[in-house]
Amino acid sequence: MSRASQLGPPLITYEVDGQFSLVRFHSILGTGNPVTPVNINSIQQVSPMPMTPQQTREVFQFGGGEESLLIERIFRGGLSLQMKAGYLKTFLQTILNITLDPGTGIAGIPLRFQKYPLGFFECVFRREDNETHMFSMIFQDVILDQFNFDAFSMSDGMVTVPFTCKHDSVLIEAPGELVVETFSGDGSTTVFSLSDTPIDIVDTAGAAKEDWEFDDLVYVGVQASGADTHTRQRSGVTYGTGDVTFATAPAASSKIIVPYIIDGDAV
Amino acid sequence: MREAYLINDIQVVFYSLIKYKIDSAAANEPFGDWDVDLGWPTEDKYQQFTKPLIMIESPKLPSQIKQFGGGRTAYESCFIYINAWTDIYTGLNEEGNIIASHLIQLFNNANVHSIKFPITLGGTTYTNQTLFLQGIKIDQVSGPIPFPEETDIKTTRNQLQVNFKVYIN
Repeated sequence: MSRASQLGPPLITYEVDGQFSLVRFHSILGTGNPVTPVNINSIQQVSPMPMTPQQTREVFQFGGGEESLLIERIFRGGLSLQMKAGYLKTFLQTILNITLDPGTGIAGIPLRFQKYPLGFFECVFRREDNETHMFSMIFQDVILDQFNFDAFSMSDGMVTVPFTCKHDSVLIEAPGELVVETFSGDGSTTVFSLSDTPIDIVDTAGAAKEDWEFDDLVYVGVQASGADTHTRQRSGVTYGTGDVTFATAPAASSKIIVPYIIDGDAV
Repeated sequence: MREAYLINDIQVVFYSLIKYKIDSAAANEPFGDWDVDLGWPTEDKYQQFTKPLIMIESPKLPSQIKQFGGGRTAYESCFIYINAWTDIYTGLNEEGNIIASHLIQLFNNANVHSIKFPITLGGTTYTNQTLFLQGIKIDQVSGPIPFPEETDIKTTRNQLQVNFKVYIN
């Protein structure tokens, strides 16, 4: 490529439109091999937030002059979903994994939310033909932030629902597709076989190591019986040829959560 | 689409899409009752319409899109007039409005970009083409504007304006 390179005209493939894109939610509160994703309706806007360090330090040393090391730690990201207000009730039931049923069950959702991960948003961006996958953005272990209705207006009421992520948001090249799988521990089983074949997501030998334990799994989480949320396993777990293997069997009634990416065209 | 024949080819793309809708219409489906033509109707069609006519004018490409380092252009804010033309034998304004309504529904649906149709450009026929593959992205459709009594035999033309972008793939 020389300095005199001449580019062509812009291509139709540079365009991204929400009307051709799909937002799906994979719950980690339920169970499934794999968890069935739920399509989210009525979305008007997806606003991803950048991964932002909560602590930043610039370190100098004696004799180093102006040369410094910039240290960033404790990253937070997230996204906001703007949707039609009338869909909010259905949406909250989906992401909180509850069913409102005044006749036989519970009737209300307190608008004060616990700060536990709920699942994954997978935003699938597609081309104008509504079929061709361009890329996806994945927001992992989203935590619902406090919010309420923006307003009930005379017409076209909208609501913005904010989420925080404590782990890296990921851009996935097509045809990568998210799968979230759950298993039940029995106190003796150490090997759990995945129902599909993961593909590499990151290279943990490289710069992506901090938030990633595996090249080909987003994480392996274990939620003890009665616990509010899962813990990401940083040791004692290996992955190979479709099997997640624990050095020590997860306890009885614990829940194992394994999210990963598959080649969506190979399914 | 061929860059050197862009105006013609855009017109042919819209023509081919609607021709496909007509040719593939199921029995009793509205599109099957209509005809489509490129440009102004010929003399014999003026004399008496055998079917309501969807007439596709030449596109207008008023505004360009470029990119840094790119001299060649794509086009935005483009529009094309598509007319539902009827006479006293083929339903006049009432049928014209029905045609226009179906065309509005066709172009307003995001799935219009994935309808597969054949197209012949420069003597070569390409199958399984889409608006997307031909580089056309529909923005909106507006109208219809009625033009009554265009000819001696009292025809009515309902004109739609389809706005779109054009990319040279």
